[in-house]
This record gives sequence, structure tokens and C-alpha cells, in this order.
Amino acid sequence: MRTAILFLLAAGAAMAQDEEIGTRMFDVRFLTAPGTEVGEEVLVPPVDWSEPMAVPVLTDPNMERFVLSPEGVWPLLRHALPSIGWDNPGVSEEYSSGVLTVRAPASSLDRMGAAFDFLNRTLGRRVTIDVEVVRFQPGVLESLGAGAGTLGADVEGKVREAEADGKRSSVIAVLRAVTTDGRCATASSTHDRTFVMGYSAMLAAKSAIMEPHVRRHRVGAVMEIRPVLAGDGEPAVLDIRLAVAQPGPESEFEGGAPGEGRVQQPTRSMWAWEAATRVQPGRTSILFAGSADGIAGDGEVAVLVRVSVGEAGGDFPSGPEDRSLRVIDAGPALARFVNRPGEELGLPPEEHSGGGGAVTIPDDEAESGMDDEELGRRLLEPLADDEKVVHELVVAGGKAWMRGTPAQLEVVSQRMREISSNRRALAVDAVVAVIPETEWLKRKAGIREASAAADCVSRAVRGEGSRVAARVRACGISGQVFHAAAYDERPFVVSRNVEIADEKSAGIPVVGFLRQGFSWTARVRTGADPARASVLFEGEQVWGGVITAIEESSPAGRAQSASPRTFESSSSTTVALGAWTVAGVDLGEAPGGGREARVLFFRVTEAR
Amino acid sequence: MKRVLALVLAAAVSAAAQPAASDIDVSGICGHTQGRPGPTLGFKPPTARSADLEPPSADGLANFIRTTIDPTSWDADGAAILGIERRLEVTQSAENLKRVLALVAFLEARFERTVVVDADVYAVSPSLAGELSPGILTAEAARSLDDAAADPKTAALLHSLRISLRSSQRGHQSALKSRTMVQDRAALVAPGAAILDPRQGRLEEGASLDVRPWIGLDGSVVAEIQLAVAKMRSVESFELPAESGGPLALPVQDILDVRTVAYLPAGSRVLVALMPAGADHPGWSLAVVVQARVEAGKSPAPPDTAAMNFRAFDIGTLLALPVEFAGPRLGAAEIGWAPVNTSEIEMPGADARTNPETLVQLLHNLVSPESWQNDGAVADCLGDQLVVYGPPALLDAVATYLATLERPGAAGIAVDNWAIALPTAEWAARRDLLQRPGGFTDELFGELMSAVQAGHGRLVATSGAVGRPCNRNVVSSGTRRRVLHRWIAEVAPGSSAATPVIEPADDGFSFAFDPSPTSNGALSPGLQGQWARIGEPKRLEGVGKCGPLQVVEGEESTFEVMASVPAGRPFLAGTAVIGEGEKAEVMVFLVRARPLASK
Repeated sequence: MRTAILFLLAAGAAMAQDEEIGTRMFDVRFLTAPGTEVGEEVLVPPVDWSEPMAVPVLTDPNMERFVLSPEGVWPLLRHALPSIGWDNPGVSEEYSSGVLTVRAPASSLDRMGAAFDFLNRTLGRRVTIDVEVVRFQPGVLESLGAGAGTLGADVEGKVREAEADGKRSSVIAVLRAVTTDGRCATASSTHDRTFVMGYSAMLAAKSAIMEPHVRRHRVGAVMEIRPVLAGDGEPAVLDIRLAVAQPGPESEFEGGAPGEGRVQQPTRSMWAWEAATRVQPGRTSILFAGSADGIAGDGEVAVLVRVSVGEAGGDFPSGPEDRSLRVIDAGPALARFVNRPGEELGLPPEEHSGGGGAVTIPDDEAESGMDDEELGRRLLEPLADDEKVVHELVVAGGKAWMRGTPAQLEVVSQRMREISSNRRALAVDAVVAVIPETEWLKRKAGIREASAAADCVSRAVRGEGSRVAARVRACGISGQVFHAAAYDERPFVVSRNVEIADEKSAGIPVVGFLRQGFSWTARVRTGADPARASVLFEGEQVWGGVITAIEESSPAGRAQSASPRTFESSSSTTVALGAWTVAGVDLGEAPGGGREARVLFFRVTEAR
Repeated sequence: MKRVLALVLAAAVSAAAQPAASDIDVSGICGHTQGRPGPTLGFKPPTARSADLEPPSADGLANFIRTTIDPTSWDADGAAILGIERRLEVTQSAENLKRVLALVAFLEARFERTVVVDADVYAVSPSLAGELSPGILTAEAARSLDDAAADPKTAALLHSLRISLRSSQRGHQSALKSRTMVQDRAALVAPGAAILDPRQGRLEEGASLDVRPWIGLDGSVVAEIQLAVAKMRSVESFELPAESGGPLALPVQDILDVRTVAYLPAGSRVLVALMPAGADHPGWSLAVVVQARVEAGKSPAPPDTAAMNFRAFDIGTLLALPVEFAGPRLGAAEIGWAPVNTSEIEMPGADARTNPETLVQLLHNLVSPESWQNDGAVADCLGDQLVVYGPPALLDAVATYLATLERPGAAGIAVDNWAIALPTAEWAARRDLLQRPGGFTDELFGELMSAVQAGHGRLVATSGAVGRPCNRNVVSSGTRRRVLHRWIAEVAPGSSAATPVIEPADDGFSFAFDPSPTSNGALSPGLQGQWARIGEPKRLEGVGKCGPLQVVEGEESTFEVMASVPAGRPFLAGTAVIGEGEKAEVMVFLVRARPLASK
């Protein structure tokens, strides 16, 4: 609102002296309501195992720029209706309790009423986001040619058919959020159970008692989403956090400590994706799909998203001649989205001996949006010098408020489309292929060639002499850090903390989690060459860990051990869009004997 | 009042020119208390959410009199007015004293009006519930509800509550049945000794009504209503070994909890909420019907002159609202964090109340500004009354202006909800209809209801409530279980014991709405909904002195609507998958927001 330059048309029609002065109230609360997230941390239901915590919502440091302040409405009204004699002593306004009270001639009040209708239509455009989480049987998405990004009409039809076919898929979650441009909404569908997952001990001289720890184990789906509109027919940006969990096998562990009962150990499979990405309104997109060795159940879990945007408010007749006011969505140019690096897999942090996991991409290079002044200047660039009347354009509330002739409005709208399109939608597809050593040795030399890498991935996908151990693909926008993961989570008794008091002692079980699967974090930037991209990519696969009881007898009770294998790789490179790149290779022992190569491939594609 | 009239008579017979003194008791204007919330019943205790309006001070009243009753005369020798506690000491000419007494009597009558609020809670059969919609009941609908209550197959009147109080006062009434039971134990340990101290807990069932009414500008009543109904479903005796102290009583209660601000026009009965009933009436609904009326005696005439009149306006709703109620947090046992739900969301603009000084300033700036400057007109806020002294034309202009201050949709907005579970195949067959852009259609509603009637889906819950715009209203119904969730161990040298931790686990359906009409006829319901289902707790045997405990399993889902929607059109607000495997269903939450017409 700092840039809400007052447009005062001095030549405005003088107030008719004989016209009756009236007073009218305009409820501007809806126009100025900030939603639930501005400046707040609200509690959201994270699906991941957490101690009591407050999770910050989709925080945008510049979020207030997407919300009009009550004081900002009046200048915009003056901007929309330049011909009203605003400076006439008979015209006045007061704001109180979300209501703007205006005293003005009756005809002016009628025109203000029409302007508020327009503002309500324009700023209140409804955005509906339907999200379906579907587990497809292995190979189904591949056979349909469905990759990450917006689906073509024919592919969408086939995917929907497969989704309705219970033999090829099963629906895990269906969520809907109804909101407006720039406002955050949440939705969840979860299933909870409580378990005794540990014990604590209370000791005193000659007395000891073990106290069961009951914790909630949650599965289901949780979504937090903020849409940022980009103009009619243009892809909207979704700032999204989505976590999905499905129950896995349950077991019990008897630690044998005096006074301690069995520890319940439920497991779950997790799919997590956090990103800002672009979607085409009215079309179905696959924004995430993931599978990994060790996750209970077959197939690939995919997130299908369809966004519907309400009709635009149109143009509002404003000023002399054929001038109109058009409110152009400017969110993608202004927004600064928060970077979202992934979490570390493997053993609990205190037991982890090395590696940083997929969390080391620095956060200090977050892609900033433009400020209001800069956007205003760039929007007016295509206009002729004599048309660049600066105060005909106001940038406020995440919108550009342009008043001009139809031709001028079109020029500015087109310019906005060009600026917004700089944030391209991209998909990262990462595959861990397991290739027998002999086969790998044959292919190793030529793998730097894109075609050879593509052939290698293709063979693994088809299961020809190699296989896919993990594959996670997800969408994001250029310049933003985003992550995606598919993994399995198992609690186990990592160790015991021994406490003693006089003649009593107890070993308190320390419960941690083994997370096995595949996780990556990426930042992709496209520059002048639209066919190439600069990529920061970090991937981590954890597998093979079996949890076993430590048989060593101790009065403090037994613990459990886990010995997962970890393969981490990071790359900072420039790639051609669509070409597979080898990010890393791990040559190690195969489970059945011999050796095998574990090769991490990734590619970046346009997610139209 | 008698004293005031006596003084008026006395003043009338005294010589007009002689200064007269009077000591006037104004406790009828300055003495009303605010009241406190009532007892706890329901998911949460009642809370005082709206702003308390201070009653007028005697000093403020004296100042208003000084500026309106012959203002220049107070500078004369011997004339004086002083407000002390709840009294006025006035010395004035007999004529002016007569006018002062008339003004006090006029104001006293305003503050002594009584609001009578009646609340009835009915259990209604599904067929009757289908004919009812939250909002102002037609005379025919109100009559048919009472007629139906005579037949236990169609309806039953469960509770009838009445409160009489003054505008802006808070009051409560409850009709409760209490019982005590051993619900808890506390472990006390000392070296070599431990003992479990049984704690008797009191459990109440019945109905409780907490109300704060305001008389509106049009003579209707706007009321902040907190109504709770609790019914004991069962009391389980949870067996514990002797060393853990023996059995504990774990009650299960069905609860209805309504917290809303409702517009109650004179002579009308308003169906404030319609929510699913508990185990006593499976498949039925609970209907909460409220009506209010203002009881007032004949109002004495103010000391008007030909050119200048007094008029008082009821502005309590402008000064005390909005309110922001918080709902329950439904779901499995509370451990740590809670999801976004009706207990968490803060209402934007909750503190955007009008203060008295601002209101008077608005009048000076916007309503005939010249009249305030030239005619000696005066406006002052005395408690929930705006008292204006000025030319009749100005008073009419103020009335018109205040009427416009009532926000659009002041009569209220009703929100109706339907939770419908469809087998996943049935949902998939209707997905395009459900997800159709701008899918605010009666066709959607009709299709889903047809599916229910054809056995292709089931209606899980029907609910609805009314609320006044720009307030956060919450209605909830469900079941509260008390669960032995865990144990806390206590030790001392040579002794130990454990205390059971009993916590509530609530399920049901709850929705919060913050309706806000937009100028183009759409409604912004600002809706959050949550649904939860909790299974029977399962016993898990304990070890040692930490005895058996209960584990719970449940499902829950939440949804939000943060956009404006067309008035009166059902729309799909949220979805969730419930159940597992072949029994999995997609629950669709349909919502309709509709403005209520003023009577």
C-alpha cells in the first residue's frame, strides 16, 4: 500500500450543489481480512513423528502485500472513480470496525457501490483445490505415459480410468480446500491410534517404578496450501505442503527390564512433498509421485491436483472516454516463496555418523519477488512515453490496478504474463537404479552420454537386467528449493538411559526412528537458454536396515540395533532439459551375493 | 421510581424562580452489574467473549445533564449538579429541576427494560428435521414443532429454560442432575508408605444456558447464546487391581454445544441450531429454539422543547460485538499438538469494535455536521444507550445513520451442513460433478441425496446453525469419553505408587463460521469444520503399579473455506477418506450459507 499513489483527477466533475447528500456504509472487512496465517504460527497436524510443536504455516515475509489494509481501500476507490469530486468539502469518509462510512452525493454513492461490487468480484475470486492421493500399481503410470506435470487431455482420461479401476489403483486420500488468492487453507483426513511406545522410570531408595509412555500414531493425509493467481488462463502458483502416511506392520518388543512391559512398535510409510509450483487451472496435474524399496505395499503413490478458479471480475468503466480499470493478478511476480529443504533419512540424528542428508542446500539464496515499485515500472515499459502516466497504475494488495484504454490494458496484461512466466514450472524426476556389477561395468564408460543414461533408466524401469530401487518425481518452480521423499518409518529402542538410586536401578528405553527410503532436495534455475537449467541436487537413499534385538543380557534391559545402508550424493551442475544425468554411483554388496551398482539418475523437465 | 415521581410532583408545586435542591437516586441507570458465565457443561466452559460495557457513571450522567438542560443556567449562582456514586445532587431552578427529573425518569425507563429469553431443546425425528431449517420459524413451523412434541414418535421437548435480565447483562440458568463418583485417584507417597487417595468427581447432565442480550435499534433482541446439553450415555466401571486402587468410573456423555450470536426478532421463534442427537435418540436431531421479548413499562416523556428533543438509541450491539467463540478440539486423546480446528483459528477483526468516542465522532462528522455546531446538539454514550439532544430533523438523521451501521445481513446467516459418505466407486462415478468448477448447484445436492436414497451412500450427519455476521459462531455435537490414558508414577524411599491420568476424548462434528456478506450478494462463511469418530477404547494390561490403561483409535478430518460463496447454493466444502480397504468411503462435506431475512 506504500505505493498506492493517489490518483486525483483535478478535472473531475464538480459535485452538483443541489444533489442530496447521503451516507452509506461499505463493509470492507472481506476485502481486507488477512486470513488465518498473517503474522501467525498456527498449529497444523504434521503427519511426521513430532514432539509437541508449532509448525509455521506457508510463511511469506511479504504476505501482507497480498492483503489490502483498511486504509488502503479508500485510495483505490479514488483511483477507480476519478470523476467524483473527492476534494469537495461535502465528501468525507471514516473507517471503523471494518466498515467504511462515506458521505457524498447520492449519485456518487451509487457509483461507489458499483465499484465495491467490482472489488468484491475481483478480489474474492474463489480458488478450489482438489487433491487426490492415489496408489497406482507398479508400471501403471509409466504405461499411461503420465509424468510429473500437467496431464494432456488424453492422458488425463486414461489416468482417471486407472484411478477408478480398483485393480490398478486405490485411493488413499481425497482433500479439498476452498480459498482465495493469497490466502492459506488447510485440510486433513487422518486416522489416529495410541500406543505404548516407551517407558520412563521413577526411582528412589529401594523403590522403582516404570511409567508407560503413550503416544499418538497418526496416518492419513494433511495439506496446507496457498494459491497465488497469475491472471486469466495463466498457471496459478501453489505454495503447498503435503504429507501422506499409510500404516505398516506393527510389532512388539520385550526389553526385559524389571517392571517394564512390552513396547509397541507401529510403522508407517510416508510420502512428503513441499514446494511452490505452477498448475494450469481446470486441468489435472500429477505434482508428485514416489516409490522406494522397503515401503509397505506395492506401487507408486501419486498426488493428483486440479485447481478451479472463479471467473475474473472483468473491467470496470472508470474515468473519461473509454477508460476502464482492470485488476491484474501480480502474485507470482511479487511473491517470495519460502525455500523448503527436505529432512534427513536414516538413523536418529544422535546415532548418525556422517553425511548431511538432503538438507544442505543453503537457504540464503531464496528467490525474491519484485517490490511494488519495480513491478509498476516494468509493467509500464511497453507503453509509449506519453502513455506512461505513472499514477494510472497502482500496485497494491498483490494486484496491479491499471486504468486505461482497452489497448493500454491489453499491453500491460501481456507484460504481466511475460513477467510471471519467468517462474517456469519444472519437474525433477530422480531414479535410483540397481544394476548388477557385470552389467554396470559394460555400461559405465558410456554413461556420460545422455542417450546411454536414458537407456539405463529405461531398462531399469522395464526390469531388464536391472531394477528401480526408488523413484520420486515432483514439481516446483524455477529458483525455488523444494523437496520430495518416500520412506518407511520404524520405531526401535535405540539405547537405554540407566538411572540408579541407592539399591534400585532402571534402564529407560530411548526410542528413535529408522527412516528408510529415498529423499531429495533440489533447486533448479532456468536462464536465458530455455533448454538448459542450472541444478543444485541432493539425494539420499537409505535401505537394507533390519531391526534386531541386542541379545546382551543387562539388568537395565535390552535395546535394538539397526544397520541401514546409506547412499548420499549431491550435484551442482547445468543440464539439458529432459536429459538424464548421473548424480552418483555406489558400488556395494548385493543382498544375494556378488556386487551391484546403485546409480542415482535425475532429470529436469518442463512441467507444463 | 416512586421517589422520582414524588420529587417531580414536589418540584411542580414549588416556586419556579427559587433554586431547589434534590438528591436523586440514579442506581436504576448506573447500578446494573455485568453478570458472570454460568457453570461448566458441554465441551468447554462458557466464556465471556463480548466486550463488557461499563454502566454510565453518575458523573457522566451529570455532565450530560449539564450540557443539555439549559446549559447556560449552570453558571448561575447556586446552580450545581454533582454525580456521586449512584446519586445526583442537583441544585437548580424549580423549572430546570423538573426537566432534570424528567430526563432521569426517561433514562431510567430505558435502562430498566427487561429482556426475557426462552430456550427450548427438542429431539426431532429425521422426517421432522428434514422440514426444519435454522432461522426464523414460521408460525406454522413453530406450531407444528410443539404439536409434534406431543407425540414421542416424532419429537420430544427435552429442556425448557428461561432467563430474564437487562440489556447488556450476562445471565445464566441451568437445570442439572449431578452425581458423584470415583473418577480419579491421587498417589501420595512418603518414605516407606504409599497410599492412593480416591477422588470423587462430580458429573453433571442436563442443560445450561448462558445469555447476554442486547436490545437492537429496531426493538428486536440480539443475543450472545451459549447453550449446552449433556446426557449421560453410560458409566463404565474400569476394573483396576487392588494395588492400583480398585475400579474407576469412566463416564460417557452425549453433548450438544451451541455458541452463537443470534438475531431474535420480537414475537418470533428462531431455530438457532439443528445438530445430530446422541444415543438417546439415534438418528434424530436436537433442535434449539430460542425466542426473546422486551418487557418495558410506559416510557415517561423526556423534557423536550419545541425546537430540541431527546432521543435514546440502543447501541449495545455496536459497542460490544463482535465476539469470537472457540469450539472444541475433537479427536483422539490429546497428546501434544492439535490440528487446525474450531478451537484454534482466530477470527480476523475480532477486536474491531466501535468505541463510544469514535461513534460520537462519526456522528459529528457524518450526520448533519452543521447541526452539531450551530444548534447546540449533543450526543453522548451512556452505557449501551446513545442519547442525543437536538432538533427533530437531526434525531431522524441519526436514526437513519445508525440503521446503516447495522451491517448487511444483520438478521443473520444460516449455515447448513451435510456429511455424506460414499463408497469410493460411487464417489469416483460422481467426481466430475463434485469437482466441477464453480460447482455451486442444487444439482449437486440433488444427486447426492438421490444417491443416499438409493442406498449408494449414507447421510452421516445433518446440521445447521444461525449466526450474526462478523461474529465467530461455533456449534458442536458429539460424545465425550473419559479415558484412562496413562499413569504418573510417584516414588519415595521404600515406597511407590502411580496416579491414573484420565483425559477426555471427544468425537462428533463441529463447525465454526464467521459469516461476512459482501456487497454483491455473496457470502463469506469463513468456515472451519471438523469431524471425528473414536472407537471404543481398548484395555491394555499394565505392569506393576502402573495398572491397565486404555488405547484409543479414531479418525478425524478438517476442512476450511476461506472464500466467498454464492448465497443459498450448496457447495462442496471438504472431502476425506474414512475407513480402510474395501470399507473405505469418501466423506463429502456439503455446506450451504444463506442470509436470513429480517422479520
